[in-house]
Amino acid sequence: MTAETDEITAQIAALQPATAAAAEGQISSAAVVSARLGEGVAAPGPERDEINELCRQIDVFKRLQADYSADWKPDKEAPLAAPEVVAGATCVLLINAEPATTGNDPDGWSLKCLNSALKAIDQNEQLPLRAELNAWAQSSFTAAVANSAGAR
Amino acid sequence: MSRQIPLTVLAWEGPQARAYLVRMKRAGITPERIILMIKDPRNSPLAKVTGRGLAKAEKAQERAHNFHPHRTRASNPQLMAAITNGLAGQLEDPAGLISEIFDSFSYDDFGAPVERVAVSGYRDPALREAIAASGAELLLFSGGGIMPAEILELPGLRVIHVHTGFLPDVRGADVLLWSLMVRGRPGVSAFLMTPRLDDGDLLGATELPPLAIPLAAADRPDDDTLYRSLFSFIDPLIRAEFVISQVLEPASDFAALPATAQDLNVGVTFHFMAPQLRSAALAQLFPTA
Repeated sequence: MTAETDEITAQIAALQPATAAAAEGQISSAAVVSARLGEGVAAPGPERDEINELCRQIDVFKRLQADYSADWKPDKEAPLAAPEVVAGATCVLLINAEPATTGNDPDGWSLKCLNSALKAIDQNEQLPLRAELNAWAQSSFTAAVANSAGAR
Repeated sequence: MSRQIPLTVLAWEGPQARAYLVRMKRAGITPERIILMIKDPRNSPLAKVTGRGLAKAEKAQERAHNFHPHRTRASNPQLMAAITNGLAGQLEDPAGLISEIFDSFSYDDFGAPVERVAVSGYRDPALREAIAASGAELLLFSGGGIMPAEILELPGLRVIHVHTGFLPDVRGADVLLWSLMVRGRPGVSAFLMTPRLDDGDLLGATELPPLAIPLAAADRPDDDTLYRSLFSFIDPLIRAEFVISQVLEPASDFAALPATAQDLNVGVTFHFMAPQLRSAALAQLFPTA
């Protein structure tokens, strides 16, 4: 993390809406994003599982729902997360992509996060701080590719 | 001398099913049957196309599903030469295998009865009925993704899937490219399918030597062509080589193929690559010579 990315993170954290409780059996994307924005890189286990679900929504369903069910039934009628929450999710993914930029990503999980961040930026033209997030993603991408196992 | 094994090949027309059959023939292995799925143009579970209509649908499917490999072979000879040179480090005679897969191929040439089934897809009840009626106990899946539970739950049926990632570490989609970027080399695994993604018991898994297919800048096609060539030639041949040489050829008791449970607490499930990352991965697979 640099002073610039810390600043982007702080700005995006300030934009996050107050999170309402999700319906029974549902998980609130906003709650996951708010909780993770104050943290660093997720540890393997439940912390990563939450982020994997963000990746899965962005990568597989090509959208971030406001709430999603733990059993992962797709719901095309479900409301989408607010753009501020999508920006928050993108920021969380870029924070978790950090190890890939230094070649400290033995299982590829951080590169996976970067992949989802790139897609989230591409999928959402109205993202708050989109230019800043994209600059961060591009910088991470260049470093991650240069430090990937395939490049060594 | 050919050895018949108690295996049914579930053929979803395309390079993968063909690669399995061609490589089996090279190994002197004959499957007990082939079930060839033919996309039913009526797309109805009630009124299936039959007779000449089915033959016509099979021809149309053959052209459609093999369009990109045929076009790549015709229009990119330098790419084809580079691919066969690159694969020569992984398997024997890739050029000959590719020729057998696409030149004068017929499902009827493998010494096994071929049952042609008109289906709308894997969830079509006609497919489940055909597999059940065949009495197959061991099926080799040649499609991608997951198989419906209704088929996997048929009594006594086990379904083999081959995946171009080293399991349990590399699950999901685009795994050959992810493997190259993350682990610096391709991997391949064979497992018994479950209704979930890539989590079945392992019949075998290995990491392969690093794979690079250098291309002169002037011979380099666009990324879409390179990506299609991956799934037209490279991925099918790697899968076929592994499952036949490491799982089927050594097996003596097919009713008791040794399988070990995966550690589901490790590994990453990858998704399709964003175009930018895919381009970087393709640049690593196809470096400029």
